Amino acid sequence: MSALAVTASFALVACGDAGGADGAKVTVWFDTQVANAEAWDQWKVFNVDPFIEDNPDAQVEAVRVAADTQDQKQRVALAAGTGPDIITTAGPSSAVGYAAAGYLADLTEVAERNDWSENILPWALDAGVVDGKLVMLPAEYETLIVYYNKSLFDEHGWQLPTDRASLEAFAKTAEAAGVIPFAAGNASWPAATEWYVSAYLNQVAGPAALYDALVGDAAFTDAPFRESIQMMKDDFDAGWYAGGVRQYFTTEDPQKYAALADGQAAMMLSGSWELYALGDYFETDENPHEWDWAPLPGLSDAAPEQIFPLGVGLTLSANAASKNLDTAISYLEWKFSNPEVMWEATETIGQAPLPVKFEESDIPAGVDPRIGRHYLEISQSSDDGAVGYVSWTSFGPELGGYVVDNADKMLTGDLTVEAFCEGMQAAHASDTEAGLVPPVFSSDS
Amino acid sequence: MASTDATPRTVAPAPSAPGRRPARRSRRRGSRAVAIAFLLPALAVNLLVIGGPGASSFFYALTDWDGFTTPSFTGLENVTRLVADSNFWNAISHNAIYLLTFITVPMAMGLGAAFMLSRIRRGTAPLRVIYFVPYLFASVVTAQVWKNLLSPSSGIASALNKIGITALDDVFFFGDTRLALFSVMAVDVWQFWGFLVVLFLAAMQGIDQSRFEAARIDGANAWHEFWHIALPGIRPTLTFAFMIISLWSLLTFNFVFVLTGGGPAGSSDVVALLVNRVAFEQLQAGYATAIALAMSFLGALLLVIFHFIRRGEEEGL
Repeated sequence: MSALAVTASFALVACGDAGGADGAKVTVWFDTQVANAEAWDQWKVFNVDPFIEDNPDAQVEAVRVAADTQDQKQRVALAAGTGPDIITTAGPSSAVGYAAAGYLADLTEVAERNDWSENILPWALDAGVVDGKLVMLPAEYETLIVYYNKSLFDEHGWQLPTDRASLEAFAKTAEAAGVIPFAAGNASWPAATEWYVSAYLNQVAGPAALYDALVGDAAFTDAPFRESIQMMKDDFDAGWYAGGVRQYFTTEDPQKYAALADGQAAMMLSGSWELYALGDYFETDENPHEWDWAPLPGLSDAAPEQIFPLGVGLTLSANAASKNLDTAISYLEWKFSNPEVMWEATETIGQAPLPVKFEESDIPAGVDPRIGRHYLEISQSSDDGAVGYVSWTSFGPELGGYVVDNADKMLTGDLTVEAFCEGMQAAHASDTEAGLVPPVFSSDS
Repeated sequence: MASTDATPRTVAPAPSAPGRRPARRSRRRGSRAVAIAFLLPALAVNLLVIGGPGASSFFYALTDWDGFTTPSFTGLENVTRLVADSNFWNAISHNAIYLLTFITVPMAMGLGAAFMLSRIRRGTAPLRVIYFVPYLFASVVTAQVWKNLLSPSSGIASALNKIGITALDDVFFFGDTRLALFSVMAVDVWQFWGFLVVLFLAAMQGIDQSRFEAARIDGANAWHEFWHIALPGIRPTLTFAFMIISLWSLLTFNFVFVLTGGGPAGSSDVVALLVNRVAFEQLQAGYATAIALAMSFLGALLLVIFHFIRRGEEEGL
């Protein structure tokens, strides 16, 4: 790639008016992460049409953009003054750059007007505050959990591990039965190793230590973090994940799901997004096995018994330069004031719910009870203070990039655990200096 | 060697008849103006889409630009960082391996196949099509097909397993740090070498057939014909092939991106992927520009080297 390509993609953009909307038209770029046009139409049924019904004078132009290039295209468009009115990002780690560049409108007054502090989960709302201003709203929340093949566990009479000792004992038992402890693989998504880094940092060092490191009161080179990463490497080396590091690097997502569903693997450490993927592999005509999930167990005395490392997988903001800022804000207000539409979307198209407070009775009967329980327990954990942090929400861009670039090298032994931790600390220091560390919510919020 | 030809190679112009010179000059001036007029639109477009960003690249490479905010001048900080950046050296070493592999393996395959095809009098068209067809497939499609074929759980290894052959059971083409880069290159070679076959075959068919016939009368075998007639006869095409392969090896992206994403653990990373990550994931567009600029300089250096090689060849003809 030539220097021209890099510069041109950012700089050689057409001049245009900021906002790019006509009249009361609001543009939003979105990806449904599904391939067919029917699903895209369904997305509009729950995310556009009801807003138009409530606001007949408004128009919403929903532009579908591929998820893996959306951020890049949006940045270039905003730099050219032609970005969408609603800015979507893959989480606060990504959005904080937009905020630093001044593209995100201040929504603090809008939040007060709508009592969002009462309705939105506090940690998720806090994650959108930059320099004292609310600039992004959490539109999707997720955590890391352990999925497991419930039928396999029932068949063997196995119990889910609840601490380090029981995890080690379980791994031996499973391997003796010819079962890999965890289905895993990053061939479809090379950055997936950051999920494990996030999980082990929470499960071993614990959320409190992570909070200290993120706010600068501790360093990633401290013993608890080194021990976390060392344990992760040891477990990979032991073949607990996919059967070995090389297998892990080669396994695609469908193979990972199939291994769990077929009983070749017992568990799978992953995020909430898999809740909607497992239905294609479990409880089908070909495979009657059932799946279930459990919170991450603490693996050291420093960690709580159960941890929900929390992440915001999607943020929505209003483009500060939008010509239709009021309509853009109206759209955001509508989005967070219609829980019934939100649950309908979850029930019908498997759209993850917003991080808003709700009662069990609010969940429609058609929502898979395991999914409903998942979000109920996250809400409960928010209240109990058993929450943690994930790299794609709480790490700055340099630290996040460092983990993605180097975690695999640590697994292969090309980078020592000590060097990996030193690199993490150096990257975090750089983010801190640049003011790009995302807002750190309190773990006992 | 001095020429023994009686005809002078350069003939001194005869004195023009009075009155003719101004007309010729004016004609020459006119044709030059027409040529410039034809060149101007392309030059203007070039200045706009290459000159402008090209010049701005020099500026951005000396800043901490994140692609968003106003850049701050940081002097040579990006350059010193580049020199010490192990990710850059790791990636560029893979580009170098790519280059060395591609100027040897597919070149040798292409030359060999082209020479053999050139010796067949009839029915070469289907063979040429067969060799060339992979080059017509979209690289993303080719990569995905090979990814499936070489998958340990669903590809060739799995099929062999069903008939009791377990030789590939523990081979992870794209998951083993020792194999990933070579596996990617193998797929790339599979698609690319047919292009070289067609290119070299076209060049070989331009060689005067009487040379081959004369060599055969003198008792030359196929190897002698290849080495002493075919290869020297397509030297300009060979130089061209070396040049484009060298430049494409510096720019390689598609196959690595789809097959391994540069992994595992950076074992198949190349500079184009690194630039993409640094610019758009780590939001360091200034530094990414510095990396890309370094590659542009390297490409320019290769072009200069090839220019001198070609000039030497032209003078030697």
